Amino acid sequence: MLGKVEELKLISQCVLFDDRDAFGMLVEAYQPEIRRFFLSLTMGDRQLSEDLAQETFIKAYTNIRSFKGLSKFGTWLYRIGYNEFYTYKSRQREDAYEEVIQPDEPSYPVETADAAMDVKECMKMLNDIERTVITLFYLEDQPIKKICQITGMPDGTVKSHLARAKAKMAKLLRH
Amino acid sequence: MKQNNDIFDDDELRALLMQNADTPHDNPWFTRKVLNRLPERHSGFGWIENATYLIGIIICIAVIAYMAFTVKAITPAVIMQYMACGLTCMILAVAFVYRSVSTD
Repeated sequence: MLGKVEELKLISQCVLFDDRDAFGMLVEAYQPEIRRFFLSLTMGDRQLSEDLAQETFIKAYTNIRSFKGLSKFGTWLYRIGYNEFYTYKSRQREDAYEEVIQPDEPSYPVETADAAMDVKECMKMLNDIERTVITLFYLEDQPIKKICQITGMPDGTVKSHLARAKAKMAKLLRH
Repeated sequence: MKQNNDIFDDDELRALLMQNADTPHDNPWFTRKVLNRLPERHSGFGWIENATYLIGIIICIAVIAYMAFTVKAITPAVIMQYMACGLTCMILAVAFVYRSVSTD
């Protein structure tokens, strides 16, 4: 993991000298987290998560002059990634809508007798926003404040989504 | 009243998710792919270079014109001066044209 000073140095090199090697080092440092983030959001779709991760870094490069250093570079990357994912989903609006309504349909797997729901299936039952906050909070270990910066949602809304998602998962996993 | 079964401890849920989360495969080419897809480099100072070439060409032409109007006798020294100015003008013009058409 890069230290803050080293990270700022690499970013300055990208901004001032268009240093591709410096940007490459930033990509190397952050690509595992960003790829893992998308893998969770896309429910294991490796090809899609790789594409979205690449798009995120390309967007970061083309907009690097707009990075003001007020948040950590990683937080800024997650923000771009979050926007990329939801841009993709809005293009796939019908599929996204079906996924969103699925958790509320009465034919929940939990209703089948003795069905043991594994964690991945459980994550599929969450809607996109719930899956995003669960991923950021539990898998990417981001505090609530950072999740608010990434998603642009207020503190209360993030906590509310987290609580709902936790309750859903508990209900599904404990049956 | 909410039953305990419906609530997860944060640490418990985190451990469960970490244990079962998909992890990305090692991809040594990921960074290279990203760098290959970055837009073309472009220098923000290109206009300064172009302006310098043009100014140099204008100065050379001005010197040649001045010499043409003021020189009274053509001596070997004058010929050398004309050639030097002409050569400098040609080099700057070629460099300017190359700079303009180059995609680098």
